[in-house]
Amino acid sequence: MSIVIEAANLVFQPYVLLVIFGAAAFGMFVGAIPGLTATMATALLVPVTFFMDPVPAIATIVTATAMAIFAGDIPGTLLRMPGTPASAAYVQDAYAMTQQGRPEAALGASLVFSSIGGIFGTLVLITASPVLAEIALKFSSFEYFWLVVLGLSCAVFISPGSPARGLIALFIGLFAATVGLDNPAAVPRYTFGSVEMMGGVQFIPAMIGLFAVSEVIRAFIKRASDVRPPAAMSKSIFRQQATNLVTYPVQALRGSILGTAIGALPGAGADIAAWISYAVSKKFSKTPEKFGTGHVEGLVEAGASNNGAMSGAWIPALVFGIPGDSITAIVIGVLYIKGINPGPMVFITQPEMIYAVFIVFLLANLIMLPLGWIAIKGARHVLSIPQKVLMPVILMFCMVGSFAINNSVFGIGLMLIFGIIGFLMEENDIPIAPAILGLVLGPMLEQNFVTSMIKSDGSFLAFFERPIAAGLGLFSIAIWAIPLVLWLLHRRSARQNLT
Amino acid sequence: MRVTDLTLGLLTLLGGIAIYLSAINFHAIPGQDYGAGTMPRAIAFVTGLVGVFIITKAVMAGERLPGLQLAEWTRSGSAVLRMLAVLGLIVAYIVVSPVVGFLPTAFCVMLVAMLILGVRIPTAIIVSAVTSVAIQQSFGKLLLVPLPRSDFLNFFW
Amino acid sequence: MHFIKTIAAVGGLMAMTSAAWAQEYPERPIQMIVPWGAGGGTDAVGRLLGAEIQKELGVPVNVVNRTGGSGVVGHSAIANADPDGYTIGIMTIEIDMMHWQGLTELTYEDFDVLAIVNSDPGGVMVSADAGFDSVEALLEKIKSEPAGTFKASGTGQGGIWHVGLAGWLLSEDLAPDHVTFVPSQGAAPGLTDMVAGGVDIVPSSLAEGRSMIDAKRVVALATMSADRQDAFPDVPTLAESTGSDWTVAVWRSVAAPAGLPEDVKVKLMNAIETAYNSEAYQEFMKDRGFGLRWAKGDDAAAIVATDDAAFGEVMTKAGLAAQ
Repeated sequence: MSIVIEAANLVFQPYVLLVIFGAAAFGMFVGAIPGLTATMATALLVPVTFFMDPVPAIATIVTATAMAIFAGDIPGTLLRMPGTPASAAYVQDAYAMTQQGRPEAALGASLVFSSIGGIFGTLVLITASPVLAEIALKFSSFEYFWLVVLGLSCAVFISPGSPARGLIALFIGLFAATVGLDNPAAVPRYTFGSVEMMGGVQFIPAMIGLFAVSEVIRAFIKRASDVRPPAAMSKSIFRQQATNLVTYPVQALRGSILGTAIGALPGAGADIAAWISYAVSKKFSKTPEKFGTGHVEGLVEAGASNNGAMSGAWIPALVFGIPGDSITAIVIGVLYIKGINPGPMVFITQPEMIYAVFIVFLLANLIMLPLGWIAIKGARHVLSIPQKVLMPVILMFCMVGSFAINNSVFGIGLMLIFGIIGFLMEENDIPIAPAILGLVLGPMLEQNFVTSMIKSDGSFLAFFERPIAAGLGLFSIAIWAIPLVLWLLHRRSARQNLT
Repeated sequence: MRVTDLTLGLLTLLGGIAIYLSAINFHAIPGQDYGAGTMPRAIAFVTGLVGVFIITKAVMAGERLPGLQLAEWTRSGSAVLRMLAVLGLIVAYIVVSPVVGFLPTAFCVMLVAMLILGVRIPTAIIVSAVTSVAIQQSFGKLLLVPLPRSDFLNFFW
Repeated sequence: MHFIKTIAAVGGLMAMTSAAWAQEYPERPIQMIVPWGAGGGTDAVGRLLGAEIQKELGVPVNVVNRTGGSGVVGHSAIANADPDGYTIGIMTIEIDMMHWQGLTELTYEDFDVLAIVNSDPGGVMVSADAGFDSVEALLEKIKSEPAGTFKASGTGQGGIWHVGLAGWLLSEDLAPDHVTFVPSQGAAPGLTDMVAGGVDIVPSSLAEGRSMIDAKRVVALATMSADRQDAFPDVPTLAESTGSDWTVAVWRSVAAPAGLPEDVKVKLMNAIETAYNSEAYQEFMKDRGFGLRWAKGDDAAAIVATDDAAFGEVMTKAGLAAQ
């Protein structure tokens, strides 16, 4: 207990609290601008943290990233410009809620359940880090392959229309992911001799194109009328969430657990977690037909999962110094510089530091609530701007955001191409979300399949030889096979009834 | 621009074949059976299957000839022009901004876009000017994004 | 009236700024291109060095990530910039390899190498569960088993540690692919995979495996350098243990597009030297476990050229070079 008090003393200093507050505001700003990512916020903070003590340095980064991840939902909800692939999972529902005049309900759900997922993940981090990290270390390419297959299967479950159209979208994404040099064989594919094409299709410009630019194109065609979304309901942001929590407690818990577990795997993160959780939510929902039409249930589960994964990523980072994503990679670097060497020893040699980090985590997830509330209240006014003024400004932000991701006009070109693709897809009722999923998971699928085949000297059986891989593999096959078998049985009995 | 199911199926099948053909020259990792061609071929195979599936369903539903339904907006000449205009503005930004710099390009792109949508001229000028300076200051100064410099407006840097 | 005043003001400012052109270098922000992603080791080195150079030159040094294509995109962006001293970049060892692979025409000759600021030798690391306590024992086992039994990982296909492994095997009179190389997205995923039982050896730098070595999950058997490393005094060199003379090291350098004016070049090299010797940089490298190495101007360029020739030879023998 004395360690906890000692740790609290490190954190509850006016200077540290001020730093947390400043970092939160910064993270909120960066995250709310489409095209700027939490990773970018972290990288920008690194030089600043050089001049700080360890605890404020870590607090800065932890708070800024937690905020940036939530704030990424704001443009997604209001303008259909998701900031991260993770928030792309539920942008359809969130944006539909905005169009129905309920942007605050959507953002409130995203905020509160982000916070709940984050706190849950932190509690797991505090209590079960070593055990979970041991399991996470058992994941090799065979296990990741099946995990990616599970993630891709979600594309079919989340597609609102026909599964065939969902698959078309998925394969557009998977194909786009093959462009470039970053594949296991290191062979340039579809680059046409261009150096920029060797870098491949980055998903931020592609995502901005598919979601936002296609929306801008539509607005220009319709000559953006002055129709404003209906006024907000007067209910307070938080009271609605209390109702949601009572209605969907299982969803919130399931999302938090699944998110934290997937986040703890070094090779998977918030992206896969949010998509799988959204699909799980739809699968087990009593009203799956409402998904995609402005239904809050999937938002609750995927939102919790998203931030749970953020906390989960710290489990292997702190226990073994293994980064779970680009953000923890940066933080591990900062920890080293500050003389805290992540690994099992740090829990013994510097427990007060680790507990201070835990307290910072909890604080970051709590401070998110009031600050997020202010941000939601402020951001909502964006919607009162007439569309004909707003759309050109959004177009500008799209271009600057696509440029900023790799500091090159090539990103804007990608954005334009995917804007046209996205527009044509929606004209033909092909859902956009599975394309993003394909783009994000495509490289992982390829990497894990090809390297697994090299390791096993070309034997497919290796995918079932390790216990976890076998379990995941059988599960993946089952979720495809069982509906098929049921459908066939159903058909046969229908036919027999006819005769 | 909406294609019928039969057309969509045919396009998907053709896409699959095209991907397969393009992947023929991607060789495997030396000494291995798998490599650069594995993924495109797998994609091609499943894409082709999906195409065949859609075609079968469409034919069973009675479609005989591929077709194209033009959406209502394509009949309005000005709507088509506006769509081409917004695509043109993006291309213009890509081409012009590295030469002329961010501020003037951004200002002009937004101004033209607003005028197309029917915003009144004074409002359009003010909003475009304020937004471009605000973006330039926040992205360029605060977030260190290297927006293209403009030599004759560089007092903002 | 207002309008005219504004025009006049703008005109005045323009005159001032054009007068500034005549001023001495540097008079506006310098852009430092990092060909690798935010958060990686190269990014951290670039950002810290940038902050120190900024103090020295008095103008902002903005770090810009240009990632993708295994470094080709970023290196091309540096080489294709104007050689005016306002674009510099962190050039990494990949410049000596990617042209052999046929990925680009670009070589180190398209750059003015200003300085080498870091170097990390390769190593031989195995999982703690594998039960090897020396590199001799490992090598014996590799030799006694058929080719392809052992698997190694730690970079992409044809990446630096792939070449490092092939070079080591060649120096031990083995076929360069006697140990199968499994491409990975970097050293960290390779190490994780090794601990999970996916591969047997990771020949990356010991610095990259430090946390796993500290956690007793990974054992460092050897360093591929002429001398032992300061951070790992207990790890023998290859020469000490198996007698192999093979050495390989990654380095990071600061480079500019070729054709820099001489005065600008001297000014930049001096600023980098001060930055390198700064307390912040030295401390940072030590804490991260990165190796310090300094070489300036022509000395640095000579190191880059030597490695280029050595890698060309190994990559050709190992079948990694384009035909």
